[in-house]
Amino acid sequence: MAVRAQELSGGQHPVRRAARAQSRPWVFLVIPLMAMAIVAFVPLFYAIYIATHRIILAAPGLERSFVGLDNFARVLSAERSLNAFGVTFNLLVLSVGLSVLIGLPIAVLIYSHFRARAWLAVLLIIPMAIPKVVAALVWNILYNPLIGVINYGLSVIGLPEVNWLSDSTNALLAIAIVDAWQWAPFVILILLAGLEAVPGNFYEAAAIEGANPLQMFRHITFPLLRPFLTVAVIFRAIDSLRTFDYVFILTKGGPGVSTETVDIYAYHIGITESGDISTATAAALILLVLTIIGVTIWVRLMRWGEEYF
Amino acid sequence: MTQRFRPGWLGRWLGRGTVFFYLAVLYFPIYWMVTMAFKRRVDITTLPPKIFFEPILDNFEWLFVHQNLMEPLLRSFYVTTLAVGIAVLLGTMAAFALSRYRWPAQNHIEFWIISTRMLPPVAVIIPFYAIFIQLRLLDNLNALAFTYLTLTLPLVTWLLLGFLRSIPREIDEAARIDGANSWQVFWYVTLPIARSGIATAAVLAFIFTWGELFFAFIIMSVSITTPVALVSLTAVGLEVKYGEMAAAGTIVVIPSLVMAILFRNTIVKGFRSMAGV
Repeated sequence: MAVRAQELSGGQHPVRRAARAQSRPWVFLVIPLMAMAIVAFVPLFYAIYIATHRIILAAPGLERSFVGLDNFARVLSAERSLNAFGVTFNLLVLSVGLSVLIGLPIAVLIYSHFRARAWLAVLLIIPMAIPKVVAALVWNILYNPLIGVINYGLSVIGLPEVNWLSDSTNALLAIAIVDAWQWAPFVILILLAGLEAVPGNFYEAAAIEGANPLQMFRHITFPLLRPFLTVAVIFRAIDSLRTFDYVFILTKGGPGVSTETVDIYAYHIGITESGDISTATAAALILLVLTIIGVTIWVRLMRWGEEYF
Repeated sequence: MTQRFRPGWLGRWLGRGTVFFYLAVLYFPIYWMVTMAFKRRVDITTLPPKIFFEPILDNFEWLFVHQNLMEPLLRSFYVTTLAVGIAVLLGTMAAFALSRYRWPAQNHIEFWIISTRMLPPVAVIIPFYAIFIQLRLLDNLNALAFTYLTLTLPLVTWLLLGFLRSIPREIDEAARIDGANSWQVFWYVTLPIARSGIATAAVLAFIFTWGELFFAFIIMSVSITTPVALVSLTAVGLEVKYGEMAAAGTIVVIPSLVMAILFRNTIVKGFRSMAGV
């Protein structure tokens, strides 16, 4: 009876039929969201549990006592973990800075000098498709002091050779170069999408007013490009904070702790050195909170400045 | 275009030259790796580097005969297929539901999906490591594939959400007026239209999972996947095996490159829509 009533209403009342059509297919959303919750929330909540307890994997018999925020306090007071946060921040600035410094001019040059931009875009995605491990191994060979071609190239043009990976002042830059090599194309792709969206008559109007290319860039291209630049920087920054492969293969955090990022630090003390996963996880969670705060501030800053253009 | 900025011939060639120089720098490491894979040790270690050399296949032979690289490759294929397959299945459903219907807290759900990208990998893998020790799941390929869902599921959902939004809803409304229910609309209308979008999402998820090192390095100890095998090559024998490493790198790159080239145009869109552009 109920079924028949539904059929009838479905068949005869347009309003009810529309309402039924809008009834949401819960199964479609609930199953994937549950899966996503399991893969994302289970580790996150367990991470919070680990970080608020004292768990040493090397000493499994030890009681798992609740210690509150002790692990976080330890992370925020120990010299080595603070160094790791500093290194992570420096690497972020270096690699995002480099990829924007390369990406912005190249994107503008591609846009203003090439018609076959679709093909260039294809050329740009190839390096991004290479696994990070492979990229790091190749650059490891290129940086090699004995057989590397980078130092050979420097010596050919009369520049002094550089200790890329064994010198603590250069190692972080060397890692950032690899990161920028692989991901500046991402910035270029995003910025090209932004440049394509700038209406051409803006430039015509500016040209009639007698603006030079630099003024056009300053007053038309850059302001319109800014939301795209914001997005590119956010995604590059988040990726840079997740960098493990490059550092792990190129320097393993060395020399000393000069390139030990939070990820590498947490890996060292949590897995390889003492099995102190509580401190490691606390460091990772602090990094997560800092990431969220950083992204929020960056988005605000970029919006806040818009009125000045 | 050129007439917008009206550069002179010098400016034009400086601009193009800079782009070509950039592309040369971009492709040099790839060229270097691929040629090194076919070089003898003597040819690798000589400086100035040799541009012309007699190519050999010894490096590849060593990898398959002495290092048994086939096993890690097969494991990687298995894990990647599993992680990408499940992500595509669930991600398509979620994207269909989110793009076709309004949900309570819709914006929160979507923000949550994209924000999983901010999770530091250590914050994910150390809890999994601790859980897997207790469940005796360390060194288990299915367990590794499960951890990869933290990467692939949000990525695929996010990409497909953007893709399905761009398909006009009128198409499935028409099907609904003809009496199709949600499953029928999904199966007969949305899926066929979304095929290229699904392929793009799957290829991108494949590219990022195929070369994943960190999770595999921590979870797997004996049945290692290809990226881990690649790293362990650096510690084989007394001398660093540059040629062999380059050969292994070349092999690992091939599947990703083939996919990137086959799906080049949609991948460009996919990379952009990863950032919501």
